[in-house]
Amino acid sequence: MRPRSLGAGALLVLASVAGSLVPPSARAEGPAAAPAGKAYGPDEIAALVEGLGYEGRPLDRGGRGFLVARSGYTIEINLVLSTDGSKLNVFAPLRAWKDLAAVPEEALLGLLRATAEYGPTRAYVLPTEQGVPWVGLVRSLDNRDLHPSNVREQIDFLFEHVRRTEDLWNPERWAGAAHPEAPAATPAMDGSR
Amino acid sequence: MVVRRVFAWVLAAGVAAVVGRAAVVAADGQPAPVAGSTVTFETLPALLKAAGLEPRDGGAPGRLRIDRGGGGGGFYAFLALSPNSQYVWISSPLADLPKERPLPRARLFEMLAANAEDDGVHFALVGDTIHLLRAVDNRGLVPAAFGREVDTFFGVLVKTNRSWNVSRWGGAPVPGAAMGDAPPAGPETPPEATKPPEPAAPAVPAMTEGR
Repeated sequence: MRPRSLGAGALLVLASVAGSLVPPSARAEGPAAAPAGKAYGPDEIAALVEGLGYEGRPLDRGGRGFLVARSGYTIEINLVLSTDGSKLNVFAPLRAWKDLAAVPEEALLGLLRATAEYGPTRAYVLPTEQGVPWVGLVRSLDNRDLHPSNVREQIDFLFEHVRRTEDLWNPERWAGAAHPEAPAATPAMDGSR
Repeated sequence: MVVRRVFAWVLAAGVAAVVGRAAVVAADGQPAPVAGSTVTFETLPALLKAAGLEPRDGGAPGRLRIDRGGGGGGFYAFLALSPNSQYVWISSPLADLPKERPLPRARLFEMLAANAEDDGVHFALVGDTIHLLRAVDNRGLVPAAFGREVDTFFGVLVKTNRSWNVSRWGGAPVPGAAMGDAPPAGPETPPEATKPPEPAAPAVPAMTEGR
């Protein structure tokens, strides 16, 4: 017996069913679908920094440090994996606060309020082994499904937020400072922050 | 005949696949997130339940609440998506700043020092209310990892009690403020009186950008 040929309606149903068997990810419009990201290991941070177009240098505590300069304003960025590797932290160390007693209460409160306003950018004061704490801003990326563009975005936001919060972290901008109009200067990188 | 059998098999498999997918969507009455993906506010409860959490209504649109602990010593946190859905915010309003000035500087420095920790959990001031916050990237989310984030969040909340618990601030302000100047006094689990107050305003701060 010769098999009956399938009608047009049956073919339509067959095509529809076959289409439903294809996973959604495979059905995404090819060129527009973002490739899967990755989790970065300690040995991959240097290449990540270079891929972003920066000249990095190794930090004492791991990760890479590099300078970001835009419109005459330069900040240091330290890209450091968390101890357990689950976060990629983007630190912007800004100033050593050598005299904590001179830090106005309003600056401390202002940094905590700026953390709410600009979050997930957060202000920090990090004690160092040398005993002089550093003030800075930091953002954390969850180290999964990451793309270099995610890191670049963090740097962009950090840069902007560093500028917007300078009155809070720069002692030269505090009331009564000797040079309240002094422009921001980039601290020398020493890898200790 | 062979073609008809193949057609029947494909049709059955297709129906099974469609039904299976519908079952996932309909599980527990709420859509489930695809493993390792992003979540929406609609799929967030399924993620939380898969992580072993028990979300409930957060008392405001777009907000869920989870509780940790009990017996009067528990804490809670809110969960909400950022306006651009880039983050799942975990937030807990902790305490209002005292009106008196100056404030104990050591406590302010401690909160800012905690913000340098690499777990991403951080303190912020929304108005005069101290909040503990964590922005979890809404990317590649899986229940187990999200559950660990919640555990870490509550762990920091308990561990830093001396820093944010204004009822323990008392005494004269500390001028100059050495950071980490004294060991924590008393148990780290706060008493009933230090439970976070019920917030009058949404716990997720008004966010402007990058979120």
